[in-house]
Amino acid sequence: MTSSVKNETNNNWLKQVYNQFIEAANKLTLAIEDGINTAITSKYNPFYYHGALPQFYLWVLFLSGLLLFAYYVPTIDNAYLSNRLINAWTSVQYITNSLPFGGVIRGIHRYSGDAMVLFIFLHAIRVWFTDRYRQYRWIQWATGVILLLMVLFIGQTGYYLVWDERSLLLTRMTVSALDALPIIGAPLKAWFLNGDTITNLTLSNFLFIHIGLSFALLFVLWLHYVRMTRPVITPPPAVNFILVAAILLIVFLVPISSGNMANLNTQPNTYDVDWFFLFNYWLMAHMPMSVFWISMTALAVGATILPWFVKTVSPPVTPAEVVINKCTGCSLCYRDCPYQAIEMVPAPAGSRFKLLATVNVPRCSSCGICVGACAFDAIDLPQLPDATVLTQIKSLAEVK
Amino acid sequence: MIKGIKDIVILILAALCLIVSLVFMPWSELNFTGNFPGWLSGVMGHFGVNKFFADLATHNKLMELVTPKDVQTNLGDYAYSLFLFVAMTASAIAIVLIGKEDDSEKTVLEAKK
Repeated sequence: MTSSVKNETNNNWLKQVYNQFIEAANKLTLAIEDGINTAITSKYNPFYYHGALPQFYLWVLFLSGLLLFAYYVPTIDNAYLSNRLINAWTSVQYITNSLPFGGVIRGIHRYSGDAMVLFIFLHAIRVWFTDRYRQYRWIQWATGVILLLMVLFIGQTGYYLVWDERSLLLTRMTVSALDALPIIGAPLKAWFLNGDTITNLTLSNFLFIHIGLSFALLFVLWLHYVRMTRPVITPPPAVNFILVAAILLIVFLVPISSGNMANLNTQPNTYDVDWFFLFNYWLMAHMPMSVFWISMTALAVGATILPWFVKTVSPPVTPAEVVINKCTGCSLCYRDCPYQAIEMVPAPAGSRFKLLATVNVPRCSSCGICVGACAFDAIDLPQLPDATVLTQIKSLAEVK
Repeated sequence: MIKGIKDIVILILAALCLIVSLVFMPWSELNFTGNFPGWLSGVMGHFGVNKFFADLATHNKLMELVTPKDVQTNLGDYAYSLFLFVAMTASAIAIVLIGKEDDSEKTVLEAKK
């Protein structure tokens, strides 16, 4: 009895700290947004396109990747280099040093990947701080976590493709990690290597995963948007210019390069860690493999199911209610709802109208847009009567 | 025509964008020389552009600024990306300055006509 009271006290204390943190973070985020609005107006404020920013970099990655793909040779053969035989490493060297603008394109591809991960994290932090990731938005959050994991894995396969000493080390570390998994370890290892050992087929597999999974991103993106009526997927041109310009500056300041060609007869020991994509390899090197897998799985599953555990910040959503005898079935609320929470169904028998608006309760955010859209006063928010809204608007107008 | 400092800044940014696009980007694309392709060199020679491009390369500080570190080949490509950065940033700032006006409400009337 005493221990359960103690646990509850601890939980309340934790909830309070968490709520205060989120409240402060929310205020800070909105203050920064306001500041940017004052400087460059809301039209160009990147905070209002935070989901579109990583997607813009996805298009940059597709285009630059297509150009690299045209010259990339996915083989590891190095026995006949003296006969100018081309393998993955030499083709990357050719792209970087000999192809006109090849080094720049490779740099754009690499740094756009980093930028995409960075903006995905900022996007996630923003929706977390503004409490827009749970309840009716759970599907966006869950698919967002899946998208992030996919992007990280795609980025890692990009590091294998260069086929320098780092690629070899990362490949061997991945094989060791997969080997440590019970039951599914062996088949996963065979899938990863496309055989039992590292061969030309392994690199073909890496290239297939890198490109195939990139296209699979589009499907998960569709799931990410499926419940949004009007997702903002394109930043305005001026913001796009800045996004590309930033990458071009980084390409100039930190030109891209490769390490020495991978040699299967040697075992590289050290490599430069790209913290955007290779942080898990750093962890892998600094903890037992079982701890690594348990912590990675816990992190991924925990992040995905977060919306169902955090229920403390906002008051519960009270869904909008349709007044049947006033609804004309005009569909204005259906068109305006940002979360596809309004469904038009056949009107009940005896009605003068053909359609009736209904609210899909789990999707309703209680935002009130449908109330504003309705010209017939046929939809209400139970906790916010029209009279209260009018009073609030009047008091706001008086303050201004 | 020019109403204030904002318009002057927009004009300066537009000029910067033009100069970078017409002078510095082709210059870096030609690897800091005035060696235009055969079909174009006659025309450029007529205007003295190729000599101007070649002279630019003699300015050590400019060359130091546009040469990336740790790169031995295709220096012009990297300088091109630097100049493209300048042009895109200048044009983005100019677009934001022009576009800010769109944000103000233009359809509000003081009284009914």
